[in-house]
Amino acid sequence: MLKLILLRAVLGIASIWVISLLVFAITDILPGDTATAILGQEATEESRAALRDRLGLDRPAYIRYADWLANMVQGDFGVSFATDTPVAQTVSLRVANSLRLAIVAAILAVPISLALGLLSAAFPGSPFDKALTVGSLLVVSMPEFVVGLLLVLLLAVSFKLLPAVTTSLDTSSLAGTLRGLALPALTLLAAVQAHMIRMTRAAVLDVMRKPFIEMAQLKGASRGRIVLRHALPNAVGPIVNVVALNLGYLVSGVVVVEVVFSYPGLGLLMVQSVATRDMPVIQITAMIFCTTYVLLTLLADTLALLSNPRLRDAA
Amino acid sequence: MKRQTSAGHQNLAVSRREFGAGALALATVVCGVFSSHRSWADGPKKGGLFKVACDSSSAKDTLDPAKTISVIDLCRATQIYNRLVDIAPDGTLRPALAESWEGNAAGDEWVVKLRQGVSFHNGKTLTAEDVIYTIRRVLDPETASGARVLIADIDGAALKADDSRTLRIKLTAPNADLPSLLALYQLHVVPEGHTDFAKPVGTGPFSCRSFEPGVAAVFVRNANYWKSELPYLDEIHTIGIQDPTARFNALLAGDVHAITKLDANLVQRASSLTDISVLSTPGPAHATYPMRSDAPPFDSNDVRLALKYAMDREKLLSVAYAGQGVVGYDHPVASFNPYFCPEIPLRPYDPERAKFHLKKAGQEGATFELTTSTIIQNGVEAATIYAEMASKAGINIKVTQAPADGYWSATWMKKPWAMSTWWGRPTIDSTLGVAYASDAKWNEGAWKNAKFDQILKDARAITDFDRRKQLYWEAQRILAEEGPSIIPVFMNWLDATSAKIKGIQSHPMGNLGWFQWDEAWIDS
Repeated sequence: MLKLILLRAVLGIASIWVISLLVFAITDILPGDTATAILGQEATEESRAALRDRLGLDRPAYIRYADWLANMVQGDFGVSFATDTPVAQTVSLRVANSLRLAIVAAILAVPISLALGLLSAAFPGSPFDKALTVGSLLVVSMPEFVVGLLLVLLLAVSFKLLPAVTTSLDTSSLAGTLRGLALPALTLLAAVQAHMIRMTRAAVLDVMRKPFIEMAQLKGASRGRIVLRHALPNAVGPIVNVVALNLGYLVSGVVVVEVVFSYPGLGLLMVQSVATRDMPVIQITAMIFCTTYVLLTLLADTLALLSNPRLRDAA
Repeated sequence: MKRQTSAGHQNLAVSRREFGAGALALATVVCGVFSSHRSWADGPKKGGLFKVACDSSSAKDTLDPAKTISVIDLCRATQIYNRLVDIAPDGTLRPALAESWEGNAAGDEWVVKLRQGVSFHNGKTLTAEDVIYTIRRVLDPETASGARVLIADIDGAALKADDSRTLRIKLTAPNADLPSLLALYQLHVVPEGHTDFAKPVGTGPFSCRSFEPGVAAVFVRNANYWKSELPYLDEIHTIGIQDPTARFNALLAGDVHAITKLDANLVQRASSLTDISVLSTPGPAHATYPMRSDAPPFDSNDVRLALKYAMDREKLLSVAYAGQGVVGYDHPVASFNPYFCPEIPLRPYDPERAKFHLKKAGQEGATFELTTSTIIQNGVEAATIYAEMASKAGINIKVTQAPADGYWSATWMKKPWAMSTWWGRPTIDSTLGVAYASDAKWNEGAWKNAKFDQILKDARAITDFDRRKQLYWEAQRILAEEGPSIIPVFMNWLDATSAKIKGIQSHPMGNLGWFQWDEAWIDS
């Protein structure tokens, strides 16, 4: 058991290392010259050469990679090309904003999706079940930026209830924070709900077909009791797995949502940094997104292992 | 204005514009609505908070005037600082921190008299030493200011304060355009010795209260502003919203009162709303189609003329730019420029003449590759439509789309025929010289013309307006007839504000009245 989890962890670290290679390679072959992007089209060749020299851009790629990796592991994320300030400082503010958004979205999405999935499973084939299936699939099949814009048109432009963009988060009051986060969080909810609803429903229904459920029914237990007390605990493995996977998506899939709402999180920072060729920032944001995703997937796997005796025994 | 290399910001803007291109083609031409921006019936009201969204913002945002590069940098700097010389909405020069200026007959020594009783936000009185410090900072290669090459004629060591209000500027070569150069936005005046531009100090109508690059900046009224009674507004918030639809939505939802760079295909919709005003202002920005004239096939002026005659300018303007612009004459001088030559006729769309010139050059049936990119505003649409027009003259143009990322370093001036964009230059000399003088660094058409070079050189030393004008008219004629580039359209600045915002006058130099908001006010 422990061995299996350890193996997963080692594989996870290996994936992160491979990702670091990819991130470095991709940012290295991005077209365009960093010095030109920083100094502008009108800079002289001498000033560009001086800048390249100062940033060490003339050294071979493998040396820069080794340096970069070693520094990153030690927590030194380098200095932003564009602003000359430590990357860690810029990134930490943005990470906090993205986390706020992810947490609010998770607090909304997880209970709502689980409740709807359970209701659906309790009344399979009912009009409610069918409507929910169609509705949730319809919403999830629209790209986030479409959902986001529809929400903006409805709630911000037509009814003027919520701000259309959240360029800076008013963290001085809880109400202000929630107001600013409402539309981005709803958009993220739309993106992750279907997977969780469908999985909860499928997992619970799967258990509902088991003989012990029939036994409970014969003993006269109520429908609610059967679903919550008998079926749910036995379906928790796959549900937890899918929740963890979607949390990973909430953190790493925010790029589009942050751009649509101009929300100052890590995703928007990444997009802005690509425009200014700010390599250290692009690299670290990519690493943060990928590492979070890998860690949450690892967590999902581990929880699935813990909750499923068959997988556990396979070890 | 500078060429914006930070234009990578615009990448996201484009996919949606492409999407709307079909609908755009069918839309009727909508003229800019200069709504009630000048209705002063009850007079301006004091106070109020003005919230503005520019089209990009990044961690690279700066309040250091010497390093101003993006639209939002300029927007913010204009609130904090003043220049010696301003450009008025009609394009003429007007005094700002300088009360007057005068050059000697040779045009190589200038005396600038400063306005009296101007103080910085920190209380310090403006003196000639502050101006000297400002100019020397820009001249210092260490500062890496984009304006250094533009003012390279100023002898930094010889800058001298005759007294606290009189500045003497010596030039290493005659330059009749010096007053225009003093209006460069990189020459916003900072107090002597100031280096911490996270905490900027200027003489402008507003002082900076907070600034977070890539997020927002807040400005508050400068009660001691040297224009008495001004500004009217109490506070200005500036943010960047990259996505054009999100930006427009923010305006519709009332989150902001004004946005820069309204998408051309949103103009019609915006104009139909009573609570929104659209500002569509003729400007110097234009796309060029530079043909590398140092190698076949473009070394033949007949080939270049054929391609110029194959362009239907009026149609291109109405279809690719939704009519939001002014047609061009294959030279970079915009029609509102005082030096614009009105005697050059607009080149007609003439497939027969195009065929004639192509035949003369022996290039019948040849295929010409035109490279464009989404980084060129409306460039992909324009190139596609142009290829269609040219095919009627029997000219095959193959449109290739290069990636927006790295276009300026990897594609532009490397391909034989790659589109480019210019946002306008501060002086007539640099407008004509920057891309067409033989030795110009950005000679994108690799074009060499000794007569043209000589005209530019001669005109630099002439201070008499009419004599200069004659020379510059001749330069424009040469460019139109022999130049390397097709310049079919000048693009309008497109912005939108809430109808409540008054006192912003359309300005040919830039967005939202070139951000000169000391007379802006809110009608509640």
